[in-house]
Amino acid sequence: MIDLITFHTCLAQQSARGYDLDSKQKEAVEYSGGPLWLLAGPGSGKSEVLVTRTLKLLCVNGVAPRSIALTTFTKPAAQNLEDRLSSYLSVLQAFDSSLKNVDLSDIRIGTLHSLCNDILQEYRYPPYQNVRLLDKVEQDLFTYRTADISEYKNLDFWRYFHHAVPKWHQNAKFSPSKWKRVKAAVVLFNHIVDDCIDLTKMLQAGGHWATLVKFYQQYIEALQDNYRCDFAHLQARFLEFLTSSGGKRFLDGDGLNQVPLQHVLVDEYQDTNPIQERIYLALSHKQPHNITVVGDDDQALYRFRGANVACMVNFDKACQTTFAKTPYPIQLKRNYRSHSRIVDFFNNYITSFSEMAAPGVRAPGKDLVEPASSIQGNYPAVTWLTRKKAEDLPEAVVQLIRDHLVADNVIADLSQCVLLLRSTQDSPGNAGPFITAFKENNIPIYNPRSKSFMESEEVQCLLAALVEIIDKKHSFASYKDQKGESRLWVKPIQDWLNTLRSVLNDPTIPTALLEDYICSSNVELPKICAASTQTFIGLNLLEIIYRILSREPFSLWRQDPSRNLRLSKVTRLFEGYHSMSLDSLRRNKSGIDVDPTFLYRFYDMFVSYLIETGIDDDEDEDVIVPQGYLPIMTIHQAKGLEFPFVLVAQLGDSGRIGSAQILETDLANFRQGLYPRNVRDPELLVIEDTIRLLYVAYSRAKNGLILVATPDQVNSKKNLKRVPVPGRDHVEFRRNTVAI
Amino acid sequence: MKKPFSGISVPLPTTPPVKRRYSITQDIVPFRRCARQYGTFNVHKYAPAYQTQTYFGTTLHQVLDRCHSHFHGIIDPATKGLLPDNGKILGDQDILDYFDELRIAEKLSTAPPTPPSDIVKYFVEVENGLKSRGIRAIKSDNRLQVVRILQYFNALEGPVLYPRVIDTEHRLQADRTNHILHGVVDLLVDPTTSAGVPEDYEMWDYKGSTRVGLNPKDLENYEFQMRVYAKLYELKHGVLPRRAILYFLNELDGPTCPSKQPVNALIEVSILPTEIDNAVIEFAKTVMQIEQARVTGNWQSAIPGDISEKDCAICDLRWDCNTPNGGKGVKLRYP
Repeated sequence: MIDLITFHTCLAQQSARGYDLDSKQKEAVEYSGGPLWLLAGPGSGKSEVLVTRTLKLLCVNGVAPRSIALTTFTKPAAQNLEDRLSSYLSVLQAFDSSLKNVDLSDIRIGTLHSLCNDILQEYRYPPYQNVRLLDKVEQDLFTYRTADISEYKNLDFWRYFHHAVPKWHQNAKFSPSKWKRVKAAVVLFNHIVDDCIDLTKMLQAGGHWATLVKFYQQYIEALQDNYRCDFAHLQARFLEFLTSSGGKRFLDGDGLNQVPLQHVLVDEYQDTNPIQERIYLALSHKQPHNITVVGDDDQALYRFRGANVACMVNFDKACQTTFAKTPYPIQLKRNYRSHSRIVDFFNNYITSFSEMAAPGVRAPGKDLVEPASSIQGNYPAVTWLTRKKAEDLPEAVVQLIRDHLVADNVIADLSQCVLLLRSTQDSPGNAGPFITAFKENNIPIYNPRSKSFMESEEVQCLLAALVEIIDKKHSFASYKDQKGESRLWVKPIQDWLNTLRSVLNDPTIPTALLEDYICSSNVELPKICAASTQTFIGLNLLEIIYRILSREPFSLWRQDPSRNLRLSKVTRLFEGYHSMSLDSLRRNKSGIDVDPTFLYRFYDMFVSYLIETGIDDDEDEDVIVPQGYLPIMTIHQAKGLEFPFVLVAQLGDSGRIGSAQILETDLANFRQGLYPRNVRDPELLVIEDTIRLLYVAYSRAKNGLILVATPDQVNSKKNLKRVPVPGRDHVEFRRNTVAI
Repeated sequence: MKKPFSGISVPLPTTPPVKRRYSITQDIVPFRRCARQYGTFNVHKYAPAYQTQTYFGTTLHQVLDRCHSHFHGIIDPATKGLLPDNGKILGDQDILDYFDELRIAEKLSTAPPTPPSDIVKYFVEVENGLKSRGIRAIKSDNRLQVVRILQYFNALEGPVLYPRVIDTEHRLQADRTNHILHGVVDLLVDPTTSAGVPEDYEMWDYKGSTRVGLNPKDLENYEFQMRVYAKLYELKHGVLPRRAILYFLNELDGPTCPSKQPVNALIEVSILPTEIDNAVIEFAKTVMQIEQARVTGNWQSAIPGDISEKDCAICDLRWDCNTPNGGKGVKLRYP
């Protein structure tokens, strides 16, 4: 082991961190009195503190690695923590050979879900044995196949829960389609688990709530009967496990080889949900309750995924209730990222709204963030890029980047800027005008979400090519619903086929090999069916997908980073279908073609899923911005990142009330809360969430923050949900901000 | 237009702020085997149509790890000192019958039948875990083969090997200038059966393939891997291991359990200091190539002959690849 001073000195070396921690950061690293509540503003080095605290436990206190659990929100973030730990530990080991045996691989590090899964497997917890863990797509498919709620068409019921149904209006005259019912059911079921709902209370409420409980119970039975577990129930199983004999062994050790769990460190705690809160508290049940939570309630963005900022805001109450102990609060308020004017701006922004001052919205007693970055200079670090008309803004952005940032060598590469938007889709109301302006001016952009997934050319062409091969007679078009109308999938598939046709007819795109593949496959497939002695012909859809991908234009498209990302996602979606053992091609009874039942299920289940539910982009993707490209990102994608110059547009938009906000209120009566919590109106929750979203956007900037908006867009008079500038005070903003 | 940022110049950061961790078996060896495969499946996360390769190796490794835990009483203290199944071997038909019963139970959504042996039980547990990661056997023959090999290993090597195992999944890692390298050694074995010291220990690594017919490049990669492990071992323990052993599990396969260790099953990799140094240099070179490919997006397919035809034959990317078939590529199948 080494002493604390040497520890800090070693890590401050250039070969490790390259700088020393400030006094507050060190206090957070060294604190040893039980629960620690670390409120960390943007750019305050919170992950650095968490990593250093972990290493301090290992190298100074001699805590066994197996006694430490370190979790964060996404896989890339966990990987990043692991990388930093390794990197710094090696410097410490080089300095002191007694640390050679510190083995980081023994630390339990990862997302909470991955830790739950690993530990349940490791301890062979009986209810989790031989169980298949369903990912998001598989949970949808499983619900579609086995949950009774998917067949429930009661219009009143769905109107009651309309907020959970995607793209469906509560005044609709017909109940939502099966896939929409499934998606809504998954949202509701997951909330029941994530929010620690008391089912008895919900049942007693009667009406649609009681119906929901019955459907939920049937779903749980279906999961058990089919040896499946979804991610929400993985957490529930884990919480149960902690009270079992195996769980006790895991928490308290066995007195022999197995060490007790002594330290729990949680990053991004603002994105935790109530069941996770309970898990973390249960993990740290051992005196003196060494749980460290790190996060920033002002940067909570994931309510739509079940996260609840209340966990961060009320951590003191949770500790009081559970441990009868008050956590030690430390605020990391020094910002090492941004120019002081940017810090002043986002400080002013977050504190200027009355909605944010209401009790329970922000963590109590927070001070303003203090600028501490080495970035200095007397220039307007926060500027307002404005034009009278919104349609002139994209050209203005191009001019700023091309004629100033690049031409004047302010930046060395386009990847040092980012354009942040609420939606980066290439449509007129979203990023479309910006994308067009960049393309017209030959500014290369990196925007993997430029198209909604299903609208992108490469995805449509790939699916159309598959349809052409397995269903050359286009049987998909012949299916009718009960009213005699074409099934919902018909039109979209025809659109895909049209997209493919226009690509095949485009003389500038090489497609000869693809055409040949489709034609030859149409000749060969019936022969294969005829020659097969078994129903299954030994071929699955993903195999065909890879053969299509090997042909131009797909082989060329894969060289484009954004297209490549989407095409890889198609393979993962098919893997989900494959996991249900549904994608192996079967021949029909006469043995001369593909089985129509196989095709029907493919359209009815898989294709409808793609069409009706909309495929979400991966939130957890590891964002690697290629050099030479200007990144266009959603604010969610930019979370955790920083850029020298940040342009934020679509400032006139306001948030919409969704299921997450409504359920926050509606489920209040059924929640098994650890502490009393303020129930906020969904309208107010939307405003809070929008303010947090823009706070995250504004605090990404290091050297320059550029708000891109017309005078009308920064004016909230007509719409109070619009919160682009501090205090909705556009006059004051105009007075204080350099306009270009 | 006003130029608010005149006079400022922000340079591009020259080095990544954090060193990336590279695993020998998950990064370096796959990249050296075929950069295109590595880029597609490991970096860009394409989902392979089948994961036979992963299935075979992972199942063997994980079940053997459970066998060691069984012997050392880690899963259940009552099994301490006991060989799984006491070394007993089930016939192929018994195994297939159980697979059938299991399949029917799954189809009917009824409780799975009780496994007929410890090895089969561990195998099914591991297989279920792998299924949740989308890894499954391509044919039922593969499943039978895996269980057969596991039983043979258990019966043939278990009695002598298990008591000598000091550690399984022995993790090693070290810091290099631009990256962290890490690896997991399957077994640390003390051949002296005494309370030995690290310089007495042997590093064992299981390979889910045969030695006979192995592509020389693959063997070269395996040797490279063991030499890097030897370096990591030296960094951790201050001494080199006594021996580095590769165990080719598929050499055990056949209709009956071999009566003695097949001559091609086990090979000792030479770990002379100069060979180790060369391997470490190679490692660093490979890391640089991976980093470069990440920047350029250029993931080259393997040079024909450098990768086994068997690996190419099950690769989803083979249809537009010039590596298989001695560089001639493969004929596209329709559909």
